[in-house]
Amino acid sequence: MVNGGFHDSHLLDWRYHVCCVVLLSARGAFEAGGFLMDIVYIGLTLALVAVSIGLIKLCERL
Amino acid sequence: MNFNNFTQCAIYLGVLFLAAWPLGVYTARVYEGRSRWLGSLERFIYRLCGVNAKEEMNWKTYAVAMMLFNGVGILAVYLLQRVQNHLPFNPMVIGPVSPDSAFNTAISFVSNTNWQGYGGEYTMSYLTQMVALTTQNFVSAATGMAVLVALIRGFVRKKVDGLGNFWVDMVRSTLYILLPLSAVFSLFLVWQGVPQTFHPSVTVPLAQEMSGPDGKPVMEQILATGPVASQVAIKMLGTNGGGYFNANSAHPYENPTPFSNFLELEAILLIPAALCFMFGSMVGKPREGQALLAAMTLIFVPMLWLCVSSEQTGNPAFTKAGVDQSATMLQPGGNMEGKEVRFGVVQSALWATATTAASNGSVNSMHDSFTPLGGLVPLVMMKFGEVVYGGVGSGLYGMLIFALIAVFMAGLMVGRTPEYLGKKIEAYEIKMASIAALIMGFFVLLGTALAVVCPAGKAGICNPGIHGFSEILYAFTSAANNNGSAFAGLSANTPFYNGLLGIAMFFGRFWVIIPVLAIAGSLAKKKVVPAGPGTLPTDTTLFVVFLSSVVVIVGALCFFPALSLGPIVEHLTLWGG
Repeated sequence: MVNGGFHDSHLLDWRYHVCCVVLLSARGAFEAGGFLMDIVYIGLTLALVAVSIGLIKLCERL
Repeated sequence: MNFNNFTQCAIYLGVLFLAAWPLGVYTARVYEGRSRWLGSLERFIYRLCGVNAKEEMNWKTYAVAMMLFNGVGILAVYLLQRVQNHLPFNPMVIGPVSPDSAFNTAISFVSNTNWQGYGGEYTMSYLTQMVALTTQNFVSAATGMAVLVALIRGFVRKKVDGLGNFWVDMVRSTLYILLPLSAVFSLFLVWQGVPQTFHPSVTVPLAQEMSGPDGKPVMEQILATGPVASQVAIKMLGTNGGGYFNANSAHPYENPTPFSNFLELEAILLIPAALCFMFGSMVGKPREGQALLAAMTLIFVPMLWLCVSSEQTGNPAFTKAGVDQSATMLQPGGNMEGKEVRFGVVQSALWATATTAASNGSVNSMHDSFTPLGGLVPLVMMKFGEVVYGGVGSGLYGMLIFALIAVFMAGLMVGRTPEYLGKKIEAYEIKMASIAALIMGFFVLLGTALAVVCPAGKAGICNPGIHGFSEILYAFTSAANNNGSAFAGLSANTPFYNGLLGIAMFFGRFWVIIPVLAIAGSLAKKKVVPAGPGTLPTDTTLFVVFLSSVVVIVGALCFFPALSLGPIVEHLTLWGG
């Protein structure tokens, strides 16, 4: 069944669910007025993880 | 400490050790693959997740898997909090959590800290509490246990690279240990009166009319409920500590009876103590595990005595004001400010000592209202690195780091290469142990220093002066040690504190784990050296005393100046008049 571009088979597609989560996140963030801050904190989290992976490399060399 | 106080503490420790021993033997069987009573479910999970259970990981692969798993966990918890208003199981229609608070909370729960700058009952939807927070309560505890098991394998294995499989250790920790214990404990809590429901909060008429802050009469009260029991069970067993309610285990819906209080208190230290027995069993030398447990107890008991005695002695300012603080048949006596009358001084002081000995951080009284010396105890227990029983997994791997430092120092004294459990401890292990032992102190002191000089840090102080400094020091000590308890007088739900404490929690957790895994990898590659006449026995009373002294000395060297500016000078000021 097609309804405004949506098809039932989409429910079986994991990419559809990932898109839903991302869009819901963006919508929630915009409504809370913190989209920029979301980017900042997600970026900070990724940076912390990357630095920690760097520590693993450093410990290997020491 | 009077006879009543002594008896309560002795019963607590006696029951703890009796329960920990069989659990320790069982956990050893789980990790050695000898107890597989949920084997079909375990295999199904591996198939579902595409895990090859027989694949061995070296320490770097193990560390990267751990790091990525937790990184994804932080992002998932963050996003869930930000969109909770669009998701189901939100009957109170609670809005999204602010970005800085969501960041802090995500790292807090993933790092097993459970520092909470918010009130759970009015900030988090049921879905966030269950899917984000409770799930992280399980997997963060499982992460600590997995890392410990990897380190133990480093001691046990000879001339190999592999430390086991991170995913297998995570699944076994959760499936065989944390989930069954939590299920049973949740049912017990429901029996005692803790709610477990999806119904929204209940509005009830007050039995006695009251006036609000604006002088208007208040006729009704909102009783928050929700799926509380399931979160409280794992919060205690997993040394997480994050309460469903803002008042944590002082709230009657989280901790309704003296019996629930006793068993929740036992649950704080149950798994950490059991893991010492597991260690002895896995290395094939039960006395080694008992020695580590004895060293922990040797630190715990005097600190417990100091906390109970200080609180029982009471506050001299109250005595001057004519308040009777003596213990009688009608009152517990002592400093009862910030304590539940139903728990009294001993159960409050016992909880405060146990919750900070472990990385639990739940409270059944307000630590901010303790006497200066009583408040010093939880602060110092955290500053020892939370190795006195400690967090689930993290406590014992922290203590093993101190054991390596202890045998290294002993080796320096007699001029021999140090050994522990037959493995030579060399420069690489000591470099890694130094990083693991000092990283926490670095972030505690740096964070505190930044907070006391920045206007944004000073803005959160509600008690200017000595106690305000203690509150900031406590906050960063709690964060960098992944404890989560607080001197609640500090207004920490601000972008400054949420960000800085979040970073301290992250490094305090993962920058200790990485060097620990590096040590495990290095030890696993070594051969076992037979004990000789120059080998320091590590299962004797001498080593127990030496190890506990090393823990105390390292903690004192790092933190005595800071403590002198806080609770110590506060104590001298209070008693000096």
